[in-house]
Amino acid sequence: MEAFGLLIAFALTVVLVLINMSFIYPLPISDIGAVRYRTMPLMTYALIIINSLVFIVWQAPDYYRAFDVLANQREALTLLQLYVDKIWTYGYRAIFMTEGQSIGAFTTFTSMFMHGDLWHLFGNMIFLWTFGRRIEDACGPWRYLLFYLCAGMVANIGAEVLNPANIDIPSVGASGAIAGLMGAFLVLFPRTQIQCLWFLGGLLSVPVRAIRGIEPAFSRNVVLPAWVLLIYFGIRDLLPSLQTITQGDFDGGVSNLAHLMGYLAGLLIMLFVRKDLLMRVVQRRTA
Amino acid sequence: MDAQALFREGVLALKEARDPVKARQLLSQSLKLDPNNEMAWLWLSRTTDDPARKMQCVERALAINPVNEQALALRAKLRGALATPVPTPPPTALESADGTPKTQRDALTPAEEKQIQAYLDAAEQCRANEDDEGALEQWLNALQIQIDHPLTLQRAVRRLYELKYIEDAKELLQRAIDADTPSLSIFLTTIDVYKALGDHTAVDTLREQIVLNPDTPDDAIIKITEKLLEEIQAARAVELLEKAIAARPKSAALLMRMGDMLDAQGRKTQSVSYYERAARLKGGKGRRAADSALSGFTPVITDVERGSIPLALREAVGVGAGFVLLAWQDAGLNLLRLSPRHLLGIGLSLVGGYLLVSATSSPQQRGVATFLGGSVPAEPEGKFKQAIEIKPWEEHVQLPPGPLQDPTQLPILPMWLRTLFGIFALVILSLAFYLVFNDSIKLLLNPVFPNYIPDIRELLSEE
Repeated sequence: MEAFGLLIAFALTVVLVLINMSFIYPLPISDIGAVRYRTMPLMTYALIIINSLVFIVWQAPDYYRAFDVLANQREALTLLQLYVDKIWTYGYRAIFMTEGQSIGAFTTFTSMFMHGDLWHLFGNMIFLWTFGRRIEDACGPWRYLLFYLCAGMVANIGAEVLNPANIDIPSVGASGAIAGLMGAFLVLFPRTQIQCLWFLGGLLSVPVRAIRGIEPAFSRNVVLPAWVLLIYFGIRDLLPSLQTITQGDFDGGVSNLAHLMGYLAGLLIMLFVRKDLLMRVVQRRTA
Repeated sequence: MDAQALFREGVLALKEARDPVKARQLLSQSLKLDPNNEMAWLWLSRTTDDPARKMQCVERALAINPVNEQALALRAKLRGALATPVPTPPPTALESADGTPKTQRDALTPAEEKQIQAYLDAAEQCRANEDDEGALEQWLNALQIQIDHPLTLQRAVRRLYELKYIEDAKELLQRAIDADTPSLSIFLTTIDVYKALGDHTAVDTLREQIVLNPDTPDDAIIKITEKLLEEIQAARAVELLEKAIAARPKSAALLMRMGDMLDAQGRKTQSVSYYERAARLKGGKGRRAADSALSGFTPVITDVERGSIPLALREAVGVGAGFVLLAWQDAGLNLLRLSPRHLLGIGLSLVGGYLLVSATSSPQQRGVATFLGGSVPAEPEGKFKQAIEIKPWEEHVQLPPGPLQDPTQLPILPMWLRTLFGIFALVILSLAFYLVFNDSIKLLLNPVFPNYIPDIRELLSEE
């Protein structure tokens, strides 16, 4: 019974988080376009499973058990410390490479599969699901994996090297690598339609539909062209990234610079991953 | 013969030969050449016994000359006749409530069906006696009950057509259309009649009527577009199909047809949008066909790209770039601290990368493949071959397996050599990884606990 209650609470939380994530900004949930998938995107599934398992099996127990034993402050703090230790040991910190600590540069890979909390994981996995499958389908699973890891590496390196603040805060999360997928998606499938959850967009669409003579109807499901959505995400990361590069980021939090680096890496790396890419863009063979 | 000669012949046929059928034919031909011959209209009125049809002819004569005394007298006489109930046409009990004939939309009562059959039998009897006028009378009677009765209309129109009374055939058909017949065949026959008359505007209007008719099956709309394409009216075909799709946006067949047409016209982007709409429809064959069509727009690696050595080298450089990133981090995020070991690893990664891409994605580099004993692969059979030959007008086939599997004319490295390259590549890349990531590998095997990790208790006490 208790498990059932937890399940209900979890489902409700998911709904609330979805509403929160998609209220002002569009939350892409699937591409609905063009060419059907030729292959089962097994590598994307594998990445989602690995990311989820790392958090749920390795990271989350300490974190969530701490809240269970709040009455016993000593035990709760011990558990929280374990959780913090993992992030500060296997997250990406420049000091590990400059001073040879932890597992050195291998943290560039471990950090990509770690997340700060459940919603960090959840948000990233939605984006991975939306953009990853198509890229894997276009590149094949192993190239896709290499591409993903390279984009994540560039994101990690870029966020450290270009931030003049030189702070020692670990970065964790798949978002840099996923931003790379978004950059690649922009190059490969700019005209694909992306289905988004977007409350504000749904509201805005009502008068737009009325002006266009279509029966006005509110819907949270908004379809946007991939190029519009992805350029928007690029610009959204660009401004805070420029601020970080010029003034430094001393606080941590969301690393827009890492996102931007991953995004730009995705654009560039794709030229190496797909040999026909330039040809098809030039010959307008895209769908 | 000119209009006057035809007129004279027609009058003679009626007066001397007493052949109203021939007279009618000649007078109709004369009027087609000269529709302003009021006397021809009056003579034409004498070729029929139907008061309504007589009246039509008289009205046409009076429209040309309103003071034609003969016509005025005949009209007065006909008005009297039309006011008198005619005994032969269908009994009052068989007429519909408002006096107008039924169409195929309305169900016939058994009595009406019986009556129509009686008229049809009588018409056949007349035909057997070579009495075309009589047969036409009977068919007209039947059409008084159901204006678009298929068998009646078919026989009447066919006979009129044979007799070259195309105008009359058109009139019968047009009456059925004006009465809102749902019969597609009537529309199509009418189109043929208008075509025979050279009235292309009417043909176009009728086609549009068919397309917009919600009862018209998709196949018929598609056939109309095919006809238009045959007549080299591609733009009109697209226009009509757009209207049809607007009226039934969930018709996969129409969406597919539109995609095919636009694709054939080179309007790729627009055609994709229609295929996409078809692909998004739930269930049915349409989605599969749309998938198949869309696959024609997927990237295809050409032999130019396959055979390019620079492209293979570019891929190898991509692999090398990944190793540079690894080395950069291993060197403490400082490129100036890259050691000879790192540089050697990067160099090896380029070699290993080239072997890897030669073994996997670029085994057909021009010159290299031939030099190393490669040969042109056998032509793919069955689905593969068909898949790349998708033509807009043909039925779509299975999805092609992917751009890398498309047929090629380039020699390809032998499989044993590719396997050998692959093994060498993995060995070399592993060695390169060891070299560029050496410090990190040592740390992985003997981790060093970080100097600083925040203490939760201290943080909480500070707060």
